[in-house]
Amino acid sequence: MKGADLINTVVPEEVLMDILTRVESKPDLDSCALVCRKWNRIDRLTRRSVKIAAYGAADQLLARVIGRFTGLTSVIIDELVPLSSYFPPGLATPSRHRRNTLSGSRKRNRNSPESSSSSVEENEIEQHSLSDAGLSFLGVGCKQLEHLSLTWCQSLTSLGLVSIAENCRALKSLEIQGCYIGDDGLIAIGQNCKLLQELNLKFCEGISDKGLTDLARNSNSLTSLAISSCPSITDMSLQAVASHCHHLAALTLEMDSIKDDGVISIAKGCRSLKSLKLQCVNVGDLALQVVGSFCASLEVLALYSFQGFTDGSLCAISKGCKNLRQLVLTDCNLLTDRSLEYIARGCTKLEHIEINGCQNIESTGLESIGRFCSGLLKLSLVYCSMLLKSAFIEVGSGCSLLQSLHLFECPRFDDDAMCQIAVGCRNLRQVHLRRCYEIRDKGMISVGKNCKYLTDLSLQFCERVTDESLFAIADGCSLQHLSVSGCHKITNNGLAAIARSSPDLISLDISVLENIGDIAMAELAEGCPKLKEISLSQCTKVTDVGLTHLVKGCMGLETCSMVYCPLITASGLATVVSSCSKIKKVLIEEWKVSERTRRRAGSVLTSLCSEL
Amino acid sequence: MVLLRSIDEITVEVAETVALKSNMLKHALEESNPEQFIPLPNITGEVMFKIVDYMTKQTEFESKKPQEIVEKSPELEGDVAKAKEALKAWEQTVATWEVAYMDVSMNMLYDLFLGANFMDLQGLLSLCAEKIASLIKGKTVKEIRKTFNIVNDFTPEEEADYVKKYEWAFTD
Repeated sequence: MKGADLINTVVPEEVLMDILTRVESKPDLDSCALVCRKWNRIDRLTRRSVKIAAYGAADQLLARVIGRFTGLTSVIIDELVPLSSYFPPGLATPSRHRRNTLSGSRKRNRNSPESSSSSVEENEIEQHSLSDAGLSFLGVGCKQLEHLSLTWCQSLTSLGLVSIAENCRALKSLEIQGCYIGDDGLIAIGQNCKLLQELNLKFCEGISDKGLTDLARNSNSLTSLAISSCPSITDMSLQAVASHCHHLAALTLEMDSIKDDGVISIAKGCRSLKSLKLQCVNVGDLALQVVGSFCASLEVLALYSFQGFTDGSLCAISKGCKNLRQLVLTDCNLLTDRSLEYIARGCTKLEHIEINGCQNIESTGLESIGRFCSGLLKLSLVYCSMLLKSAFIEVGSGCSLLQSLHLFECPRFDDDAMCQIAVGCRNLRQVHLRRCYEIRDKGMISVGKNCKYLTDLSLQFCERVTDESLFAIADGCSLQHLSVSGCHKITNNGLAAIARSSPDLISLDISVLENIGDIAMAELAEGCPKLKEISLSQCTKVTDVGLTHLVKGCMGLETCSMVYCPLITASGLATVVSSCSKIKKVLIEEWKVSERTRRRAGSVLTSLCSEL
Repeated sequence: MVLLRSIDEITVEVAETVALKSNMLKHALEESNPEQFIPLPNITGEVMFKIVDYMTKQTEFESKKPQEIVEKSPELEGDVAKAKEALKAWEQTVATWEVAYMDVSMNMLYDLFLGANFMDLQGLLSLCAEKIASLIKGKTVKEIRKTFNIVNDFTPEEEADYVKKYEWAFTD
């Protein structure tokens, strides 16, 4: 049955360009580029952003990409990205090898496969890594570049960045992580890129006060600055920023070398400051008191590992920062309930509160929050083991707009408290409880009855929850995300109820459940066709047959974790890989991967975890 | 009142406030004789009615849009929250109507698109573009071709070459 190709004949080209720019995701744009020559050409013009894992002849690769996509405004070059699926796991990467020999306790968040024997010579590293010449080529080829991000590009120096600065005068956002670029590069940026708004420097050993102060002097338009682990940057740079960058709205500092003086000068100089995030062991009460006095526009405040301050500073914040909407306090062990009482009374516009590991918070603080912050949308309390359940009663009665609740390791949070919250906060969309051992079914039944908008539920290791909870939730809510990891009493019946009532389910974590079997897999296949992520790890009863059932219905599966499942074999893995065309990531023991699956999966999977 | 005439000589009357939603009509009204009708040479009657439907409904929605309260004092806190809720509900109503409105055949979709382009109706243009983009998202190359009846004019070598050359660049 042939119809006419109207989209290429009738729709004007600029309209087709508009359509393609709305197709945002990279895989979709890649597909569009292969549809026909016309779409290929339009994709060339409209593709604005490119992300390159620069392993292997990086300079040539970048040149090719720039040659093709002439309209690029955003380029991200990341030499930390794990090997693409082109290579079997275990192959050494030169850049990673070199990185491993560097000293220092650098945080590495990516899960990259371990490199086995890496016998790569130093000069080969130079060849593969992006060079100054390559970066220079980028500058010349993309004069309209607005966003540039360079991560762990080991061969780059100031020369490359100077070339970018001289060519890309429209640069708005620059991010440098773990490169050896020096002050000259930053100075050039300051002199040439007058539209610069965002600067993000992480692990930049080569950048010191000289570079940053010069840039600050020239960058009146800077609105966002983030500096992390750059040991040669001190308060002097912050003073320069405070003197010249009056539009600064967001500041994030993760630095041992910053002291009170630096933060004080920012507070006094940057009156438009809206967001302040500090992880600086040498900043204390004094700085925060000045922030409280001067930063009336502050909306977001995040303090990590603060040992140097007391309730007094939060009192100052509460008096001066009336527009505060988001407060995050992590590992602030000197905090007591008084801090929260001050904040609650002073910052009534609070929408988001997150408290992690503040062992001295008990109740009166949270009660005040409940009483005064009626606009609260998100509450997150992690490792606050002293919290009493009475605190939640006030939250239930006062915060009727609450949408998201996260409680991790609150051993005293029980069904009564959950009921109070469920009845009072009917707008709840997200409830994440972890290791709240006092929660049984009564609380969840109340949630099912009252919280009709709930789409995201997580009850990790709330070991007393049974199928009754899931029946009640299934009755009242249609979920998109569910985790019942470690809730040993859940059986196939509970899951079946959820599967039947949640056709929009996207992600499911049923790991560490001994009573779940193949029947649950069949129910999921029947009820949840949109499922993308599933974790079956340690579901000892699920077999290959169950997997066969599952993939029949859940054909859009992208992520599947199934380690420690003794009844799942290589055959089950092969079924998943062959039936799910969109599969991206499978977690399974290495020895279960057959040669055939490895060959087939190589072009499909992006990570096959092995060492277990 | 403004008179519009389609290519197949069907006329429809619209209120001036509604007609002004279209930039093309706005300019036409500024120039021409108010007695006469405005011809729409590219648009059939059926499509014209559908477009007028859009303009009328949008005008109606605009008039019912809840006011946002810019709070001046703490006493108005409750009202601000209520106003936000009302605004969200209104946005939901508009969105629901738009989804139902855009549930049309491929041919009508193209006609609407061209009509909106001709009449310079930004809102409807965006809706159509989004709808077409949504028909592209998540599909494989073959599926996209099938949806839009596009013929593959690459040679197999060209296709393979492109995939090979640029797969590197597109790790996520």
